[in-house]
Amino acid sequence: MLLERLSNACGISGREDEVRDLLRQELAPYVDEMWTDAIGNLIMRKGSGPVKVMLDAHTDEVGFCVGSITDDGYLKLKKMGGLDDRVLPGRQVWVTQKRIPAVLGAKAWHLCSGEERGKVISFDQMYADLGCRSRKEVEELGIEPGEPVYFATTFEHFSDKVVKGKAFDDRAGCAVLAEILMRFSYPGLTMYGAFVSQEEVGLRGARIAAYNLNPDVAIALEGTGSANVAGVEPFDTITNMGEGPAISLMDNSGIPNLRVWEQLVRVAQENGIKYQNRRIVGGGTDAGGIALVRNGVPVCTVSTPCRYIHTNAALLHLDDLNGSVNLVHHFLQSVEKGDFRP
Amino acid sequence: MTSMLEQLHRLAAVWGPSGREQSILRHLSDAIEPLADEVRVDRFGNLVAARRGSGAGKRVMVSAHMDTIGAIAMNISDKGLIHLEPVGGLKAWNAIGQRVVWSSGVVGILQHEPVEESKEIAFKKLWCDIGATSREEALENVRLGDMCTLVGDLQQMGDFISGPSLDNRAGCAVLLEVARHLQPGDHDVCFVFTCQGETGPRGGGTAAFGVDPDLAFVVDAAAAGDVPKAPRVEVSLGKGPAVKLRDGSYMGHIGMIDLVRRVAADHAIPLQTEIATGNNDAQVVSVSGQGIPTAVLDIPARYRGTAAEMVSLPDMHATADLLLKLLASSLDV
Repeated sequence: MLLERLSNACGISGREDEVRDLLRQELAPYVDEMWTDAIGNLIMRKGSGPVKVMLDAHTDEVGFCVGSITDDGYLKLKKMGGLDDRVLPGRQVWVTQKRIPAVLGAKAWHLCSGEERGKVISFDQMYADLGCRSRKEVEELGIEPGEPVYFATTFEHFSDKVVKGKAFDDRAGCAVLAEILMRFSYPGLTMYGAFVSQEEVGLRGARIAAYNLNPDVAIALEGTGSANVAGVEPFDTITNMGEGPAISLMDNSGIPNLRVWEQLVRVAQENGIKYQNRRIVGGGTDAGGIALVRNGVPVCTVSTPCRYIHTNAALLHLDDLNGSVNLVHHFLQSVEKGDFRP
Repeated sequence: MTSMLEQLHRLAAVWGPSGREQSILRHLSDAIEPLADEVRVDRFGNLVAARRGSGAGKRVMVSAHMDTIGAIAMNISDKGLIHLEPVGGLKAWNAIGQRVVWSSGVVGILQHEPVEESKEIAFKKLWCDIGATSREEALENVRLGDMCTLVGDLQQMGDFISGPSLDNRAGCAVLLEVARHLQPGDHDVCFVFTCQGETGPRGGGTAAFGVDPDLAFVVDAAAAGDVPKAPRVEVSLGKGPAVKLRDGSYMGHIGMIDLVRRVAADHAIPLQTEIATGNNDAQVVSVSGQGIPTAVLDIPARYRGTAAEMVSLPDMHATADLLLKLLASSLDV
């Protein structure tokens, strides 16, 4: 499935070319036109109707880049995007787009005092171990500072409905957007599919895309946190995996445009689409950046819940992904019908 | 004709937290429409009212954010209690025991878990009680994503006036006063009431992009430093508007500051200068488009972010006077 290929593709912020190549190849038969802009946003146009709609999904994932190489052949890494130190030690990673394997090492358990064992290892004490024994060996592999480093996670099915993979934030959004471009046409719309770069480092690509496309209305498609997991009170779960797409209420990057928000809720209710709200204000999405472009763009975020987001392995329920497609599809139909004229 | 004080009473009573400015926008639109050549709402929801000049002058934007602080419903418990997150700078300790009104008109009170020490007070432990006895009953009146604001009457205390929402309905009242007394002149003047000044700020930038002015004046209510443990700002109530030299998000445009100082001195209008922390609409206005020379005229305010904010009426009048003199000048920067 496309989500599998998207999840297995690698692209930290600013190095999203592999994801773009995949999307170009998959979607070429379905769209009228595609191009890549100066910051690395892949834009696809489908239809040329009177209302301009931008659907946004970001192509970058959280990961690392090589910061420096030590004389004894280790890599010190820099984080690209928000990552929790607690989930990093021991992870397998791929270095460069050639996927040279390495592990995020830390001092062995045997050598740690009782006190050290109970502590989170801070990121500046971690290193990536390629099995090399000198700087020269590392350099011979073609590795230099700035090269990307990814979680070495391969997509798999846990069941018919639940899948595991890396980078669901935001390849889930990319999959939703791709699905809409492949399956539907909207003669009343000029539909722009914007696969944008550099969300994880500051909502950068989306602003440029929105500036260039100047849409009448936009939706940001995201993979968002879900915490209906062991040890979390039902009240505090943010979103629940398996209970449908999440419509944002407010986050640190912005307040959804009220008309877009109400229209999403209305089409969900009218069409019996199960949805939920994202019940936390922490974090931000491309919608925050898009909203402020030019003289403002009406925009809201629709997210697919993902457990263990921003780690090496997230879980996602395929019904939620399909729910996102369904919700956005009905929203686009309502825009086309003129229920929503920006 | 409505006096500025009457106008302030009306404006402060209109509901409108950040992102939910539709009612206050309608009110302001009705108030400024007879005073403007053209009134429009931009795509972000900012209200723009233009007064055309002779064509020989400049294009000036005069803005004030129209939204207030508040809180948003993020969760509703089985007991029917609404759990919230702040919208803008509402602090939990300023919210406890306060009365709020929701967009549906439903009234609630904000209450907090008992704590031993004040540092334990947090928004996470705060809820709004609207008298509902179940989640379902609460949801009939308040949806997730709905917002509420602090409510209360304005009280006049000598020259000072106190109540909720004075930040920045005081600024909005000043803009209406300026629009009322503005004589025909050379400059095109755009009065702009912006959205989401308390969160971000956000609306000012999109408004400035659309208006594309040669220069801009931002009118806001900013923290005075004349009460115990107030921010260290050399600004007091009753000593006139404060021109902002800088804050955490904005460096004053030196040409604009000189202009403001010169015009205030020429007309013997009291003026304070202010170096503040925090941010304001000028953060996004001044860097919009190709960049806009921007001055901030602040109405000094005590107790911002509470249900009893306080400003001085003479300061508001002086701010309006200063803006009128500025708009009547050549505005050479």
